[in-house]
Amino acid sequence: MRRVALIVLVVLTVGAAAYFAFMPPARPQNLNASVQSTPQVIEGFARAEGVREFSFPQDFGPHPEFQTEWWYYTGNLQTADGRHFGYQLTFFRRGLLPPDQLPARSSQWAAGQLYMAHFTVTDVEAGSFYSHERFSRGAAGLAGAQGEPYAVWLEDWRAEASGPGTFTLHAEADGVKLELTLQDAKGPILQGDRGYSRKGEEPGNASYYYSQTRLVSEGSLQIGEQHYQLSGLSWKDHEFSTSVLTSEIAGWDWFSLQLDSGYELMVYQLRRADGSIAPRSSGTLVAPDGSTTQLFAQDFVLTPLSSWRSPHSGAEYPASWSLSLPAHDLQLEITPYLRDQELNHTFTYWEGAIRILGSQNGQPVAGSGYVELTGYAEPFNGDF
Amino acid sequence: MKRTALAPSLIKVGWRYLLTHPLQSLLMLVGIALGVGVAVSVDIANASAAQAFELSTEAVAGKATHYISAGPLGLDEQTYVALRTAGLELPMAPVLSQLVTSPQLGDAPLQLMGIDPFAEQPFRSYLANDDQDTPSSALGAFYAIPGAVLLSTDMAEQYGLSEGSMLELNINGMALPAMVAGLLQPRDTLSAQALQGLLLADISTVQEFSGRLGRLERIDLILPSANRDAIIADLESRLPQGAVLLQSESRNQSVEQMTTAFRTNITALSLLGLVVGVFLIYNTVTFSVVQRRQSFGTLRALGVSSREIFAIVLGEAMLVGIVGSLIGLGLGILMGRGSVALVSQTINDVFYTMTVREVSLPTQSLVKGALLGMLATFVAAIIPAWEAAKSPPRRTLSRSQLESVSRRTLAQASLAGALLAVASAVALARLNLQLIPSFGAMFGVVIGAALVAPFIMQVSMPLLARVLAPLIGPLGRLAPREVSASASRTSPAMAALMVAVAVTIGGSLMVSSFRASVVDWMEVILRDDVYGSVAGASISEPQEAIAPEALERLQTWPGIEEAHYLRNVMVDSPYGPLMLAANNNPDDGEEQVYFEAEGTGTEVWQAVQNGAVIISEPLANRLELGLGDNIVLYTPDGPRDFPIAAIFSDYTSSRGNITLWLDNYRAIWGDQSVTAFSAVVRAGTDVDAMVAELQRELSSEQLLHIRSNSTLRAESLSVFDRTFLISSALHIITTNVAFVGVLSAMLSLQLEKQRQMGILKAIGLTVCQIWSLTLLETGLIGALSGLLALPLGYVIAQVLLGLINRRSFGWTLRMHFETQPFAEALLVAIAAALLAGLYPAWRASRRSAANAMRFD
Amino acid sequence: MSALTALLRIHGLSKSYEEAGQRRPILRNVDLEIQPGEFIAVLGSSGSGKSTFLNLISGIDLADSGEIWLQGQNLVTMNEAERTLFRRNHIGFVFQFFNLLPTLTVLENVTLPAELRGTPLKQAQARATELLAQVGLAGREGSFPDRLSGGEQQRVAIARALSHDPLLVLADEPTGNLDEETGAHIMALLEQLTRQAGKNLIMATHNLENARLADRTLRMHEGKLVSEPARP
Repeated sequence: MRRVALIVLVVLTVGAAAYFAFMPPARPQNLNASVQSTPQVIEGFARAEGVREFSFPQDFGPHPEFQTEWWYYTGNLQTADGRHFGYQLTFFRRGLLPPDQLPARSSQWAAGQLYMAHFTVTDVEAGSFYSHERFSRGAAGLAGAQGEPYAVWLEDWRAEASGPGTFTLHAEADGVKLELTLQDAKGPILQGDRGYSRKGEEPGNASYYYSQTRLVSEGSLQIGEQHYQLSGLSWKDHEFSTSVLTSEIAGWDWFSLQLDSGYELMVYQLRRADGSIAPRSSGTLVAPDGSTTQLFAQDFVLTPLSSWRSPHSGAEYPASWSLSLPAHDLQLEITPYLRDQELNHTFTYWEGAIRILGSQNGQPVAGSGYVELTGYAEPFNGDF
Repeated sequence: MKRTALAPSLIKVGWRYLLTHPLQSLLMLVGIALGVGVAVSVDIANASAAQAFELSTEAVAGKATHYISAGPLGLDEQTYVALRTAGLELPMAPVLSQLVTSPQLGDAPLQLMGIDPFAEQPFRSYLANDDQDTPSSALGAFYAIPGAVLLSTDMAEQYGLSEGSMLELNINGMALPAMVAGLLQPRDTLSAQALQGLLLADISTVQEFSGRLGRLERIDLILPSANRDAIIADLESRLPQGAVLLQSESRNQSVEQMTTAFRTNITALSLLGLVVGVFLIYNTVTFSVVQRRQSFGTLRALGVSSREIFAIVLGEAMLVGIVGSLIGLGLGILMGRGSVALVSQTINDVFYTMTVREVSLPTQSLVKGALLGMLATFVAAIIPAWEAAKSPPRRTLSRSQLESVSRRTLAQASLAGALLAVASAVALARLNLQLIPSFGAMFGVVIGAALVAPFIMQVSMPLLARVLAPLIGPLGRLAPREVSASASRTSPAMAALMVAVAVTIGGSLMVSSFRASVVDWMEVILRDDVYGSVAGASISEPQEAIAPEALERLQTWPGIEEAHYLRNVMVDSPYGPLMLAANNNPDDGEEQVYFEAEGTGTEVWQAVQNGAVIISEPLANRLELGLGDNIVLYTPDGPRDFPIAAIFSDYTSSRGNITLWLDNYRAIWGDQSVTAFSAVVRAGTDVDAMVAELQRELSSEQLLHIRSNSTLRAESLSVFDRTFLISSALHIITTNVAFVGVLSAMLSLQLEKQRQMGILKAIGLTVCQIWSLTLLETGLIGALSGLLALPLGYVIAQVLLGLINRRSFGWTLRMHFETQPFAEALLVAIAAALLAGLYPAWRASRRSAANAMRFD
Repeated sequence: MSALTALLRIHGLSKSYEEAGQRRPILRNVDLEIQPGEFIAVLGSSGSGKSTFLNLISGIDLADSGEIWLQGQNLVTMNEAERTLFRRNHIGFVFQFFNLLPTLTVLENVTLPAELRGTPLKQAQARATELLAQVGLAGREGSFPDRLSGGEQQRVAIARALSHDPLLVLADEPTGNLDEETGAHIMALLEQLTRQAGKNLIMATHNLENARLADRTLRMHEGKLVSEPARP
């Protein structure tokens, strides 16, 4: 499973409420109040209830018949002399009403969709983490998504296709500006069962989910007056669904790992409130040739090795892990490039660049990736 | 061995006096309470109006430093999208607002403000709320469902609405369905007040409701102060033709200035009430001192220092002053309710639509009022207190000695007063004074005249005695002598009455002259037979577009000879937003009253048809523009100069307006809207029947208000009268204060003269003669005060008309001399004085001679 | 010898008034010494300067020249405020027209001078009550002056004159406004009380009967104070 499914659900509505409420970031009582009053599922949205046919490039675009959708770009980049940076550029969509229930409107501003976006840059050497959040309506050209040609944008933050298998990213906030060109080395990788990713036992507790796991990236980053030319790897997730999680889930730990052996690995585990791991935790191992192996909870062992307490939210996060896939003779140690990569916006979570060291088939292996940790700052005790 | 505290018995000397003379204490109390009450109520009204204005402004403009707008048709919404997606990282928020009324919301004008919630946060943070969220289920509806509005919990409570309630919004004469999608819980009372009169909706809803699809009214911006010029230049380079970047303050400043002038105006009138109150206190305290000369002499002989005597007199006056001020505060709060309504009505009629109505009681007004009351008491009591302190430690002091002292001070005061009045009058006539100095000078004339009046009384009474004696016998000689012999008591009463009556004359003369000017002016400008605009629109400056179908039908309506269109609209200019009135009446050149023009009306209108404009007098005054100057307006093609062909009289708004030829307006602004029409009816048509028919037939989808010429005039005059209700109310109160003043003075005087009345009775005056004598005395004072008030009232009217109206409204008005206000005022003065003489006369006639003489 | 023990010593006292541009001398070079406890009557016709003389002694009026020594202080060199204080502390007054304060009760009228002198209120009231009893007005403490007859008012005035324990009581025609019988009564009371309290009394009068009670009688004549031979 990917990502801030819950965040999206909550945050888009809360974000809209933020104008009226202007609450300081992540005040639990506010959040809970909002969450409780959020209708969980508006009747009429489609649900992920079985395998569907994916068709690209159309499926790069939006699926408004589903309530929630996101496009997630993360990546690890270096300058020629090895200075390391991480970035995240994410677009969330939230449908307000099922398309067939939206009244016909003559104003271009009338919106059936709201968008939220997060943009972060991790400057490892400087020890800095920059993060920004934006909201807008999916109307009047302010924010939106489309399949052909592919584009998703919120104001001037934008991801779009620039040619077959190539994409550009653009985001700029408060003196931090990122411009990247991405070349997809493997093509879309369908997660779960042919893109049908189950998160729970009940029917419909699932999403449609594909990734682009090896996007060879090149571009520039500007921080204040400093300009950097960067190259590296990016990862894109795209997931859409309507209400995916059961109420027992308190949060999750999600990993996207890119190894120098040409493999990529995605795993996530869903945590219950009592700390135990839900059985639907799973993952995918992507081979250099793009072939995939679906992983289930019993196929990997994830052990936190240390922890870190956020000075901003006070939440305690795991800060390094060991991950082993015994069946694939893969042992990895995962360490954040920077401990403090916590996003403190409408919703508080940790999403950061990580370094990987380990062995695969007896050979040393290294790499980078991204980890997302949710439910540490605010317990989700069954409000969903 | 200085002692700061008064001996308890000395304190008793003071307040026992108050207790044993309850009537006098009461009158003093009433005087100060009324004076303070009026000042406080007006101040409350003013402060409320100012606060309401600020709140309305804050509600609408928020923290914006600049805004982008683009004329009557509004701004293309893509301008906003382009700026928003340009990565400028400047806080910017689109706004599209619309005045609406709703039967479910009290039918009062409300601001329906269309916003984009995601862009709002940096701007209108008064909505911020830490404790409670807007239920987010509302938000889907807000963006998606047409007619979803948010309103404050207070408003919802007031009108018994809740989330999900249905509303009907009247916009441009059309009734549109809306729904309460959510309630806003304001952060504090100030926010609550700002939210009053405000409905929030998504831009999409307001675009659809107002028919302005694809349009924004403006884009609010917060520009950083650093590097601002470069940012402005950058922004301007991105704007399409016709859009302008303007400073936010300019939108409110001019209105602010004008209402400030108006508020200064009524504050001054309310202070005149307090001036009368001061005379009243002075009068009462003086009397109490005079009455106790002997006691003070004894006290001095017993070793009481002058400082202590001073403290006794001032102390007892201050005691009354404090109590009176407190009562005045209560009175002010009570009257404040009324005056808030009156003041906001005037502001609504003349200046701008105020959507915020109820504001909290400004504590500052109360503090100011209390201080003012005590200060007034202090000022009024200090002279008599000082005189009391000067009392020589003698055992007895004869009255004649006393009056001679008083007469000497009288002469000095008169001289000073004459100088003050003359100097102030010269300043008014010669110097081009600003508003507040003008008021200062007017006060100077009034106070100066008040000081001279007793002197005139002294001079004229012996003459009167000579005239009256042959007519009505000994009483005719006695009464004037009595009046002048007790100058120390009669002077302040007379001055107070004169000031009050003069203020009344000045005020009513000003209003009646103003009204006459308006009537004359309407005679010239309202020549057509039928007038129509969208129902609920402003009577003088309708800005709501009339449906084109209605206009088409009007053009071909049987019996209509000629139809004229008017488009009223606000356009931006370097001077802030200005009201344009574009019409296509070919004869309009003849139907104006010109203040200043080159050539005849026809020639002026020829110039207007060729691209010139004519501007109203208040605007010319405000912008300091004259004939032959150019006025700059922002048009879709950028700033453009318009030559000014004439300056015309206009009493519809003190903001002023610009009239131009409708065809020119349409060519320049590309706006075909019509907001009012008028029509000339074929001779012999029954106008009223036609109006009724038009009203019925043209108001189908859109409700129009169609009136005949005479109805429109009547409506205009009722608006006018409403505007001056507050001034009239103030005059009435001032006259009341004066009446109390006269009453108290007469009472004091007559009570003191009981002994003398006893003697007169003893030597054979009948009860009837006692009555005559008393009433003759008070009547003389009243008549003289009234007579002296006539020229003073004329001067006040002249100042109000010539200077203050021009300064505060920008209107030049001619004095329409009418005898009625003068006659009325004279009558009021005499009646008040006679009325004030009744009780003392009754008492004097009732007392037996022996009893009266024993009283000492 | 007597100069040393004298309570009041007046030397070369002169006073004149300006009237219609003319100086009209009232007192010319008056000398007088009064021993402690002495009762002096000053006789003279109306306008002879008796009242002026009392006014000068009390500090109400200021002499043109001369000295008035009382308690080692010279009144003539004092300013207005000092004289007020002096009067408050050392002088008691009894006037022809009583001059009670109409807004104060009998008790308050009597208490006032003591209060002015700084006596605590309770003490002043006790003393006043005692004095009122002595003048025969026990029980009338709460009445206002206009409820009293002339004689009663003057009795209150006598009590008031003594309430603050003055050195000197000045009385100006104390019986001038009373009938003969009441006047005699009042006079007796005044004399008795001042003597009893050991106070000096200077009384201006034209009533020879009253003067008879005095230890010494002086006559004001053409601005000079001359001794009146003691009567048999």
